[in-house]
Amino acid sequence: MITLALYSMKGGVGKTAAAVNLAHLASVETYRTLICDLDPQGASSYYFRIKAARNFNSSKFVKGGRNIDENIKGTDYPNLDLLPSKLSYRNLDLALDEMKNSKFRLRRVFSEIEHEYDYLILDCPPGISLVSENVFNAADYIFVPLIPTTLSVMTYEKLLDFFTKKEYDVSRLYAFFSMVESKKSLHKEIIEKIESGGRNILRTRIPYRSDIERMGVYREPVTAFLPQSDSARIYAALWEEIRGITGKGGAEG
Amino acid sequence: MEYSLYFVLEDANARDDFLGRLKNVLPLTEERKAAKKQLFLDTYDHRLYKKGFLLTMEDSRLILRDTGDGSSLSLDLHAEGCMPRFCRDLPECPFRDNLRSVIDVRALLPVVGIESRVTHLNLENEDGKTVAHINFEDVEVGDDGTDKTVIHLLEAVSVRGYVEEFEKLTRYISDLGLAPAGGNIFSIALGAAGKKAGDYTSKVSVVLDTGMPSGEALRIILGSLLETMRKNEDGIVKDIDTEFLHDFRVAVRRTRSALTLIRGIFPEGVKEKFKAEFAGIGRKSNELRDLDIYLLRREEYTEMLPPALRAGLDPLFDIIAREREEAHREFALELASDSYRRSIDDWERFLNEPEAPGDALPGADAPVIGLAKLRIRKRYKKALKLGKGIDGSSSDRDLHTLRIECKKLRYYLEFFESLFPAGEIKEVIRHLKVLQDNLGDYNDMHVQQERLKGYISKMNASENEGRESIAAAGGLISELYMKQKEIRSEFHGRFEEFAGEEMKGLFDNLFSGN
Repeated sequence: MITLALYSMKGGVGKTAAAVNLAHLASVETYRTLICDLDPQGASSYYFRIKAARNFNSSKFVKGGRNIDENIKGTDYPNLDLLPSKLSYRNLDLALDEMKNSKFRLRRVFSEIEHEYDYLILDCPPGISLVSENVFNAADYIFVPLIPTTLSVMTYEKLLDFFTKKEYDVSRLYAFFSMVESKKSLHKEIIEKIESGGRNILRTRIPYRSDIERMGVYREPVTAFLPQSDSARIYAALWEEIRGITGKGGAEG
Repeated sequence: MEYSLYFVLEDANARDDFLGRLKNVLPLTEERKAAKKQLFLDTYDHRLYKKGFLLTMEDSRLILRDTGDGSSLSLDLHAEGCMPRFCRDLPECPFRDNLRSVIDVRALLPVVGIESRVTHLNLENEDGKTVAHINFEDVEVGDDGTDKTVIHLLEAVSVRGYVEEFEKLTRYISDLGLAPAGGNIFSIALGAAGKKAGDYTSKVSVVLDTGMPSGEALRIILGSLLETMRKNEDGIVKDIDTEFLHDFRVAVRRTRSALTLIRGIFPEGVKEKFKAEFAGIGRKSNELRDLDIYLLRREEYTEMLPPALRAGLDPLFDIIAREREEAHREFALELASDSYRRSIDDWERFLNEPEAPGDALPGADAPVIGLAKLRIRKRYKKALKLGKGIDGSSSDRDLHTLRIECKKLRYYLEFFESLFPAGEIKEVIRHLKVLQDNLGDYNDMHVQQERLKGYISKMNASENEGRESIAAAGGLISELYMKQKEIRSEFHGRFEEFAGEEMKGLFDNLFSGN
């Protein structure tokens, strides 16, 4: 199982949209895929019309084992399952803190399902916290959507500093531009600047598009409800790049 | 973690009617229609089916489904109609590894083909989330050209995490008057074609009754062994895979072993005549089986040798392959020969015809349980005696004698298994098997070394290729010798376990008295 995290310190940068569409694309290629919603807002659960069971909560999640097995739900797409989040995930930090080896807890929880899936995709909450550190320890690769604005770039640099300071392997960290508006000259300038100097910047840029926004209305991945659209094609290009990084080939068998 | 349950519908009208009724009570989505064509593959003994797997060929794709958790693996062969026969015909990939762990060296055969027209509907909850699937399937069963049967099925499929909804759905279906079909699409389709899934086994699968007359019980056992021989003849002649011959030979050996039970039950002449005939059949297949084993071990042998010696194996295996061709031709001719057919027919006639009044011997009417206990006891004692006599100075021959004795004991236990409590007799067999494996491996190493020595004398040492092969054979012999020594060193531990108190207790408990 290869674990991919969609992560950003900032909210509203297109994490969930990327997580949902990438997971769907992986499943279409017959990779057994699980998307794990870590965000208490539960946006990716919402996109798949999935609600967690009433008795599921953050402490059960961090306990793992049977709690995971029983709460994974099949989506409407073959090969794609989802572990929904609950509002109680706002206390995920506390729940993790109570566990032994608390920075590695999620890695341990996920290790129990590693033979069931080819890809695990983590849709992470914003911020930098114990949850994020768990994500950094559990994920093989971390992908950061980057809106080409000064503020966004600044937070990304802070993340890089954090990685260096805490001695996380920076080579597992990748960024891609998200919600890009090609008409804005500031976006253009920032992209040029970053791309000329930055490492691990993916080629594919996700534009700001109304059909991506509309996922919330359709409650489906754009790659499923508008597979021929430009947006779907761009996510497909992003997926191809990411799949390549993870060392797997296209459409298995 | 997805479950699927099949229900049988009487005909196409019943389907439309049922769909209408179901739509009245459940929020179902629009229908989606699809067509699919599947050819189910399995080994002759349905290993995949028995382990809960289904393998189908769909267009140019092979799909392996695990019916336990609903997961599947697929492999695109990129060409239609080129069906792989063995795992070794597939490219190296997880698909092949998974398949091999179930079917091993057996060949894949087409078992049943179906063409289905599927009407697919989803059951959704209030969020529009699919929580279960329903498939109405009109399934045409049959191979091309032969008579086709059409069956109408309803399949309810669960979605992971929505167990309650699935149970509610199947309850609705049952309440509307449909009964679950039992089994999966493979067994249902086979049933429609008049066959049964997983009905072949190489095991002795007779069910006896303790009070049954011994003569009758022996006829049942011998009859079942004869059936096993018959079922495997065709696969041997067509050379489908090596296991047809293997199963055939085991049935022949078991028959010979069962014939040692008939004194006082059937006339002595019967035993003498057929023991000799079955011994002959067994002997004539020895060569072919030995060579089969060699060829199956090619990979293992290659691994045993240092890379520098490996090339020498190729000419060696060329010889073995040629000899094997010849041995197969000869044995196939033997199976087609008048003398073989006559033996088998005579044997069948004997088993089916009640003996003439004057022929009946007093032992034939005694309850089989007494015979079983007495003969198993005797075998056990003899095996113990032989085993205890084995020490550091014992010859290969002594170990061979013990091996044969253990085999006979094993066969007796298997013939009469159904007369004893399942858990305990299985435990006895399990213990015995541990010892048998040791003796079998030991003998195997011995036979292989002898054969390799034989090849060395056939090689031309004045040629480069011949010298390489001699070196390779020499390397293998020393490897096999080392292994043989290791196996021998484990013998005493295993025998002590077999001869120990636990087994003695089990034997006393199961087989004393009459």
